[in-house]
Amino acid sequence: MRTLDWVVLFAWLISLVSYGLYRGRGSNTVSKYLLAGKSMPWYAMGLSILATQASAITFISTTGQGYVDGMRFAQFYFGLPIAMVILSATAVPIFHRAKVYTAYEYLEQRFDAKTRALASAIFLIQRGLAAGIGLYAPAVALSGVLGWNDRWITVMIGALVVVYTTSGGIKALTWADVQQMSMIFVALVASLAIALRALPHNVSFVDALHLAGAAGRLTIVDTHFDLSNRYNLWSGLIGGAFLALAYFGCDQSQVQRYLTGKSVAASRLSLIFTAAVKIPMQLFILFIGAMVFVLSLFVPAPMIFHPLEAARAQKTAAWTPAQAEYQRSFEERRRAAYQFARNETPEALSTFRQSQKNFDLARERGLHIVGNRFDDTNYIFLSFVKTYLPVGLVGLVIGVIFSASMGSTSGEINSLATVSVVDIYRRYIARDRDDRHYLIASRFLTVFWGAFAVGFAALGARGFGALIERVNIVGSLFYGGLLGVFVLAFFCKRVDGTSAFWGVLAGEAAIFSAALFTSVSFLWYNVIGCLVVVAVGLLLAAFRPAASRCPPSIDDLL
Amino acid sequence: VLPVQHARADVNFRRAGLPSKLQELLTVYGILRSGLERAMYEDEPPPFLGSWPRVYTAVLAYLAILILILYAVTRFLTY
Repeated sequence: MRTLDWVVLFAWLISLVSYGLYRGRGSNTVSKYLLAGKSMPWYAMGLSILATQASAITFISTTGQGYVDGMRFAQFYFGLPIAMVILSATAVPIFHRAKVYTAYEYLEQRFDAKTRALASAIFLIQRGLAAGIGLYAPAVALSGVLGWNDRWITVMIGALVVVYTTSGGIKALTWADVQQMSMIFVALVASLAIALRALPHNVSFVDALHLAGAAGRLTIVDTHFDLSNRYNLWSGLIGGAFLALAYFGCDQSQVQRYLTGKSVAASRLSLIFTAAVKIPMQLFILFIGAMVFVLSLFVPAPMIFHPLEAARAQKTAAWTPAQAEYQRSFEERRRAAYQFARNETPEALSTFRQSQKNFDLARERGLHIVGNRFDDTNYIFLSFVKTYLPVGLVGLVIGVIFSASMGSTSGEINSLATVSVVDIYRRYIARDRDDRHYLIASRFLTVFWGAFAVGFAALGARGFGALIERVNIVGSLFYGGLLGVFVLAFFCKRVDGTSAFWGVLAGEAAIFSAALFTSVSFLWYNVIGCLVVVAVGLLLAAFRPAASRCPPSIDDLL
Repeated sequence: VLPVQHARADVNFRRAGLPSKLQELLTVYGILRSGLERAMYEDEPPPFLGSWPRVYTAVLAYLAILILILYAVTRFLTY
């Protein structure tokens, strides 16, 4: 990075944090600190929800997936609009009416304390791990760009996040997210424009589309039903809908966003906005990856994208023959790509595909120099940024990746602190204290969860492949159980707390069995877990005497 | 929405066995609260399309069209 890039990077980070702190001033009560005093407009909530998901992982890993695997990952989001509609109609008015700080607080109103405690514990484990992985991503980015140790970068980012989250509360996070999303859109458009501009003059945009299609990078919709296939239309629509229902309906990091709304309508609009924007946004990011792939057909890309690992590999004896083979297969593929772009005959297509296979094999051999399971997908976009973006814009894109991670991590540790205070500390440890006491506890626990995320990122999150998949897989292990208990709470009036509690445990057992002993894709874990929770909950409730069920609430009497 | 008389009969049926004073208090409280809650949570129209069910239908139609377009793109550009 040059001097101007550094100036842009730090100016962006300082402006982002300052703006968040400025908008978050006056968060001096628990309600204001955790729920922004229920004052947020719908567009701020909607952009904040998008920003929480558009983490650094989205930039680094999704573009890498588009490059390596094509755009079929977009199917993962097909179920999201369905989930948004269901949640707008059910969860949003229920949570607003219950006047809760957390989704799990509602479970005690509906069931009992042990069900609430179990759901809170599941959330804390799952989200705590995901926060660590999310924090690791920008460390990967900067270690690749700057050559610094990623552990030190993790600690540095974590410290920044903790300072900014602890002082401003959710209002600061939300407004910082709004600013961040605007810049994310600018960075994405600029990246795509530059990728297209860098293509050879005799390769048009239409040629690029055909080449990407011929290499399988534009296969977006796969209609074949296969339980072991991670991304197809059906796993996306059904599994994706269940995952989105669980994520937006039961995960406090999302629920807390729309609970800050000043009305049910504002919260609903924020979810509808997410439903409308999320799929096009993911398609756009994946498309950038696909176009960077097309660019790599004509302009040589590194055999190993991770610069530090590449430097190490160059010192080995295996490097020279592997690099020679990689170069030869690249030239062969470039000729085949030009030939196919000029004349789309079946022979040209067949030659191009064969050359792509040879190229993939040559790159695979290069990656094996580093290690058998080495995967550099997360470095592809960064390599593109460093190579093609003009000075100044490199700093901006790196800054956006930085801030994206800060935004999502700060939201996660804020929600972890909220659940720790509201569902654990205030419920079991220190009841009936004044507002100021809980505000201090919230700030203290924000620092604690920040430190936990940094520790996990620095020590435990290393060696992951495509980070975005890893985050979703970790989530899917727990979300099915959470979703099941909320389905019981919302729709099964005869089910009591004990039946729901054992239902969740049975659901989690079913998910872990599926993960350990079958090849079922992770998107189906949510479906399996939710169905088992509901089935076991209903079954147990049917065999339990009526007197053991929940006593009638005021709502029942009314 | 049920007529008030109908709703009261339904409510009274569920409260059978409670002392009459408590029944009356619950009735008044219930009517006030349900009216207020309906005003606060249920009857807020969206800023477009007139009602929430219409908004939800529009979102699902948008999803269906999007998938169809992406399917067409896949068929057209995949060899």
